[in-house]
Amino acid sequence: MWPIIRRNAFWYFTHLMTFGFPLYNFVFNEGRRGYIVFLTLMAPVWLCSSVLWSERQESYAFLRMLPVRDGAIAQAKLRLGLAGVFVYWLLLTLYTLLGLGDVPRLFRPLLPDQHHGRRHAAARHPLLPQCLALRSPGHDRTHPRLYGHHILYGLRRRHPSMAGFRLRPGPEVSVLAGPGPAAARRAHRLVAHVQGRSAGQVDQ
Amino acid sequence: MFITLSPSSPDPMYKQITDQVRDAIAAGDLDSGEKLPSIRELAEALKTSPITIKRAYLDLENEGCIITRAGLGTFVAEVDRGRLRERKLEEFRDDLARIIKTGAKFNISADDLVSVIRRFKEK
Amino acid sequence: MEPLLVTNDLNKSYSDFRLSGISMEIHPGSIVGIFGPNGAGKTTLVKLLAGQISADSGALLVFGSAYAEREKEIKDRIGYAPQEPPYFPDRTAEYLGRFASRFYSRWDGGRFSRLLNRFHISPQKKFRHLSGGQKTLFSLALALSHQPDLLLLDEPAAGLDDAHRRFLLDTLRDFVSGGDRAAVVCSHVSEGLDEVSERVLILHHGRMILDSDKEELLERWKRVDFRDNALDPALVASLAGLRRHPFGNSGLCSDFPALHEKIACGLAAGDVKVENARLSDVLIHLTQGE
Repeated sequence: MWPIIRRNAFWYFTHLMTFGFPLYNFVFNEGRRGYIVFLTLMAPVWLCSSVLWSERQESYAFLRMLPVRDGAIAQAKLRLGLAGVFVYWLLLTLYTLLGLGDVPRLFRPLLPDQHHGRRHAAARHPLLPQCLALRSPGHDRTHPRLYGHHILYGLRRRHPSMAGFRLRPGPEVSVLAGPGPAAARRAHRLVAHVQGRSAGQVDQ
Repeated sequence: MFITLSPSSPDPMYKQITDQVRDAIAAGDLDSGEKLPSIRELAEALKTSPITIKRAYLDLENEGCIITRAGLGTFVAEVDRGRLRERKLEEFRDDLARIIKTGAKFNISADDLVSVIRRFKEK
Repeated sequence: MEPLLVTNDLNKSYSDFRLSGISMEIHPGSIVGIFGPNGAGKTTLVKLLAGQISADSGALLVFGSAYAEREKEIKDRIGYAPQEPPYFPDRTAEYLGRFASRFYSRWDGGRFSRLLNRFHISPQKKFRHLSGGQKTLFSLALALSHQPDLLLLDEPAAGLDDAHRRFLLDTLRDFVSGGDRAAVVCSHVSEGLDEVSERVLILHHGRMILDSDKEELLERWKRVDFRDNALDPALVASLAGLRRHPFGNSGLCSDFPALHEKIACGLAAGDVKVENARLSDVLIHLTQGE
């Protein structure tokens, strides 16, 4: 039985490498850890492709000649497929727990670190498009993920009304708001939402 | 004339044909001047290659048993019974020598064989 | 001794073909030849015996048990060489040997490599790059290498040159010489396999039309060549496949012992000659006209 399982597992592994390659390139080479979300899209394709290809390469006529039961072969393959599904589930769970993705409001209490959850909850806040950027500590300026960061610096230099703005890295989150009272109000509400307080730190 | 080919016989095909034709001539099945079947006819009937038949006919012609007349066919030559008899007797001589030798292994003497032949003669 | 394989009224239907009422026994120490025209059902029968497909009805006991109960043990002791090689085409001969060796309990790797060597099959060659005859020989090598007790060979002589065919026949004889193993070979031509078979089965349109010892077959079936009027018309009528030509007639007799006395004087006079029938003559006679 093991040679059969080994053969099939080989296809699963090679297909994982093939389908995941662009993903791995982004995540490991270019350090864009957020792209790991594409795992959710890739994994079903990987599973289907592995199963189909391994079935194509299989020769049941040969296997039936050998002293091994048909039922045992079918069970082994099914278990291998389910193992693939389990691996997929495991990756998704790790992905969630590490806060690499969106967490529905319902599951937020489960997260070990509120910080990460909130940061990403805020990322989905409907007001966000009107604020120009969210920053959190540890932001590495050499890998700008959000180009708004550059725009803000530029704006700050050009618009006198924004002269008083400071980029103040707060303990949790800071919101940079554009000029104008409306923007300030929106920013306040955003911070309140993120930090769970009625008032927040808003730099304008 | 009765010719059959036996695939299991050690004699080659052409020899079987020549032997059987000679037997037929000696037995009177084939009279002098009688027309023999053409090479192609005989090959079809016996299901062998015409080359085999041709070789058999050539051998017979060399012995003088048959004559080929171009355009007309192959015919039995004048039957020389004496010569046929000589030839058959020689064949029998070889066979008898073999029988005697085999008989000697079983302690059968030539006299025993002679008495067997005599008994047949009386019947 | 207990038969190695017993079938009783085996039936298998496909949409356009039916194999029906096959009952046979295979005793240790024998080589059974299954002959018949193309499409007679020989491959289906061998697949049934090898457990590749299951019968619609009828009993099949191999080594005393049915496939449903002991598939693994039975297949461990059967060497099956199918007509269409089912091996992974992109794998080397050596890989296929190693793959198969993990499943069989009595695999003999030395024998496998010796056979490959003998057949001039390079172990590093991919299976699909082998010639047709080499593929057949590879199947044979694989079937022999796990020390089976029963060999089931489907068209083993197809595409083989004379030397390898001779080797196949010698191997078959060696295989059953111990008296505790048996072999079943199936072929649509009698090419040498009839000389090694000790039992002959003939299939036609899915039914078994002849099942007899080969020696008995040769005793009963003879080719009779006779001059015109040398035989009674009644006797002539009983001969099959009659061929008349101006220099003699020839026919196939199916029950020679009964005929023997009646033609005794004809034989003595040289007007009637008798020879062993070849299996192909018998096959052709029995399988034509249906």
